Amino acid sequence: MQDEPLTPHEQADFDRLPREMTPPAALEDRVVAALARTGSIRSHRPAWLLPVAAGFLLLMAGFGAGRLVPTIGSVPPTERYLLLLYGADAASASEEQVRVAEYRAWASVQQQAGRLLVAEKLSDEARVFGPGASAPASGRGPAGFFLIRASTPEEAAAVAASCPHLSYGGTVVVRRVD
Amino acid sequence: MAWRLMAGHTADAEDVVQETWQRAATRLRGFEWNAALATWLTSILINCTRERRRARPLVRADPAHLSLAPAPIRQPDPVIDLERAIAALPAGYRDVLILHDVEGYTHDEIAALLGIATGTSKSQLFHARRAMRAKLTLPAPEDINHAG
Repeated sequence: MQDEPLTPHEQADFDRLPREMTPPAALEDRVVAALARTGSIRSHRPAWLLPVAAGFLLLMAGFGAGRLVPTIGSVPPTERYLLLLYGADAASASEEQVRVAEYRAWASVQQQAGRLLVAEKLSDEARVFGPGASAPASGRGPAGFFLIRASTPEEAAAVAASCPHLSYGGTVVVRRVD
Repeated sequence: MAWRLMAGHTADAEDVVQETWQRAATRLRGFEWNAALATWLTSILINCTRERRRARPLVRADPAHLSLAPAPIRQPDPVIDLERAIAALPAGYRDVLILHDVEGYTHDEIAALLGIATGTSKSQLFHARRAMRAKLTLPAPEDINHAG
């Protein structure tokens, strides 16, 4: 069989692929809880466990043979934030296409940065339940949302501030997931 | 690595990381330190990944599939295109390509990790790179839509 070596250009692209991703705090909690459930660790989480867990997760996320770069303890915790998109200027169908393309390019950047978890556009149709409830007028509810992870509220705010929705007269509300 | 092996599906990758952790914790006492810890952990991760894929076929998670509608304009980005091409490979090709070209394992190491012959690893990499190139030279679906 012939060899199929990477070209220098391809090798450069492979070298640019990120090797490490910051594991979300929720995943660490999940793993620790699972280990506690199975008796692998005590249910009371010792102080050393989080940095070790973070190091292990980094190991799983990106370390390969010969590429061990110990960063245990340097992983910032992450929280999840919901970016709710409200209102925006009306757009024609063609303008809407350009707008959506811009949103998708922005979402791709967030995903490549390891921040984006979910992105959805919401229908205008809403059904409301509860005492005295009435459906919000069309266009008053959120038009879509992004669920992201960020290390600090400031980082989440910076992501929201960069959202193209703002440049079309829309509002972005940031809420941390408890 | 888990994220790439699971073709960019974050939820499944996180499940795999959790399962890897649990197995590693259970088996750590049996680890004899005659292999690199990273390799040992990677072997557990790969087994978990394969079991997960058998149990639940993957639905690709990728910006092209976000429900924010198709994009008519696309800014080319070699890294995003490469991630997409890797995620779109058949699982067997993808595993070898990630382990060799992304993580830097040798064919002998890959053979041991995947339980295959060294020659099979080389053959899989040959086909994986060809398939990857074919995907990279194809226009993305949104480009086709735009052209139409």
